[in-house]
Amino acid sequence: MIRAQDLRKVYGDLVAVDGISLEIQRGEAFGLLGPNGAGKTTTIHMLVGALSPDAGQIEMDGAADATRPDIRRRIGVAPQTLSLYEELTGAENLAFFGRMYRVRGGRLKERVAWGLAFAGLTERASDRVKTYSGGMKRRLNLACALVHDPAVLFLDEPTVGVDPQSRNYIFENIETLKQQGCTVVYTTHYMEEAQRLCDRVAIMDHGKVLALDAVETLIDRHGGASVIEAELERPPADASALPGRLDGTSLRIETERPLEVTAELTALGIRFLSLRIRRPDLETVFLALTGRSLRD
Amino acid sequence: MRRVIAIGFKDLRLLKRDRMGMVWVIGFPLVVAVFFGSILGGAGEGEHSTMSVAVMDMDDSPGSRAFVQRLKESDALSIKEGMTADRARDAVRRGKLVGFVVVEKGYGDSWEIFHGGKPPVTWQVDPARQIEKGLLGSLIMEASFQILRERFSDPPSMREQIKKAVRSIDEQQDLTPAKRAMLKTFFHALEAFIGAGGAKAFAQDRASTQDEAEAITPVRRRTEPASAFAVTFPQAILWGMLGCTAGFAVSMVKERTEGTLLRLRIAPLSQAQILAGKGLACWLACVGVTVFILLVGRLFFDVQIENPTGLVLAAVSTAACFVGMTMLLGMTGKTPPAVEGAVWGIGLLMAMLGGGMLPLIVMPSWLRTASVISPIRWGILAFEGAIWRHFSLSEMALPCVILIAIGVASFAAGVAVLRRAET
Repeated sequence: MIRAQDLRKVYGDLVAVDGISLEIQRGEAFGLLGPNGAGKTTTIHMLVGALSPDAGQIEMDGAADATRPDIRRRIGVAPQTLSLYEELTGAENLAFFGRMYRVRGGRLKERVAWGLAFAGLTERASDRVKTYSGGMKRRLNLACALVHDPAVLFLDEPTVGVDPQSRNYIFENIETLKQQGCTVVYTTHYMEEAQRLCDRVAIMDHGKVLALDAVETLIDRHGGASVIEAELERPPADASALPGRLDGTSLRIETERPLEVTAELTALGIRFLSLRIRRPDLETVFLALTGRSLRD
Repeated sequence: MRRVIAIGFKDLRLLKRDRMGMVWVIGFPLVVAVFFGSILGGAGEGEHSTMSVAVMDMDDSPGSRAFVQRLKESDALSIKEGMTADRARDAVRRGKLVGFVVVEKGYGDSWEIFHGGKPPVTWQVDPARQIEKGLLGSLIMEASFQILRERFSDPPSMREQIKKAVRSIDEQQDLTPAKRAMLKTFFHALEAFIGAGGAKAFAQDRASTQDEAEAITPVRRRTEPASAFAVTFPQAILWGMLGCTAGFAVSMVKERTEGTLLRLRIAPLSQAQILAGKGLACWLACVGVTVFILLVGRLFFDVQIENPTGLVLAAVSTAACFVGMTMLLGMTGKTPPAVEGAVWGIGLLMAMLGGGMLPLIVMPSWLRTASVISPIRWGILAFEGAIWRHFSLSEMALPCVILIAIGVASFAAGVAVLRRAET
């Protein structure tokens, strides 16, 4: 559905995007994961036709020009900044952006009502956006991208500065859209969001795609072993029989078979005060690929 | 087109909801118009200020009384009588009077046509009010000449004056016989001319000239405004348009920095549609401000519009100019406060230079020449042309074409900046 080949964008001496290639399938939830400044937003802007790439090609539904009106009508974008008119009400914002996509009359009313319900703002429909909380604005920002019922939704860091309750609300909404067959392109620097929402993830850094695959595949390939961290009731008489490293009563084991190893320890008569098994995640994948944390 | 209109109406709604913005668009310009209009003389014929002047008639002759009556009839003077010279001088010192006029003894004699010397009238004016001094002098001269002219057109009075003159010639001992004979011949000829109806004809001719002058007055072109408000309301319109420029330029920067422009750019809209929508909003606001300010001027300050077609041209072209400037300033500014500061800074300079604060007429000639670079000057000229300068359509063309040219050039520059930002 979306194909990008060798995309490149340079601002002066800064190479924002450096030869990115990717393909996104219809109905897929695709994540662009990377730290701030990795080139995620620039990539999105090129994909939706807001920026011209210096090099490379983009195809959207087989069309080489993403700025064609019929292509643009099928795209919805929720920018990273809250792109709303603060002096207009929530309903007026939705209606205005709906009109920009040629949604009119009864259909517009229907979509505005749907957008308000989607954002949980039906009760606040006539209040000006400037009176909304940060979470409400984020939800409306997302609803404005969906008011014309697009087939592809681009979400650029949609949960930045959002309280946990609104974040959950947004996740649930995106999961509903996925179930309805909407293609979602999602940028974030929160690995847990990408892990929860995305079928496939491209890990980006310094304008390049370091790895691209399904989340589980990436973890299996780059995440390394699981970690068992346990606090023992008392140290065993023969510490040399234990796998991993024992420091007083604290035991740390790196293993590909965490459940089996835990069972073996129990069979040896080891009693735990606390036990934690940490599976590798996208954070550890990023660490393995770049040598630094996503939040650095 | 519907989407262009939707963008335009959205921007107008945003402007309407910005209370501070509305103060600059409507409130401030009206204050400027009313305040400066009142200072510059208000509603002209009905309300202009007069000079308070004391007149002391020391001669109390028919001639001096006629002279004082002439001064009283002047619209520019408010005459106080019955004061002594000392009281009048004290009132001038305390600023209660602009000055005083003394009609000295012997004025009645000097009133005679062939008297020869200057009429004995003296006057003093507050030293701090030198402009009024010149004006008072010219009003005294005007009153004296009016009396003289009336006497020339009054045959019995002229005959009496000629007889007095002939008696005076007879009494003069130092005149040579040849000179005496020559003067007497002149006066007898003059008496014969008056007897033959010459003076009457002269008086009638004068009256008919006056009638003609009165008859053509209504169709004669006025070269000055009916009131000071006719000058200040065009200025106010330009201030209102500057307020629109500030409001819309700031809203354009906000659209860029807050991401709503990105939403519009990725919608199925062309760049031309987005710019047309924003331009439409600014243009409608400028025209709306013009209509509102002129309506207030017409209803409450008797501002007359002499050339409605010219006014439409002025409003359309000035609004087009300000739309272009809005586009340029809105696209080049980085932040809303920076753009707001730039608009008012540049606007203030243009207004100072272009006659938006003080009328061009009070500026030195080099500054008037320099003012051609200010769109405010051309905007004011276009509106004045329609309101009181009686510009024909061809005369309206120059300011209107210049305004449209500035608008088109600025708009094109703004579009170029936007295109560069998109790449």
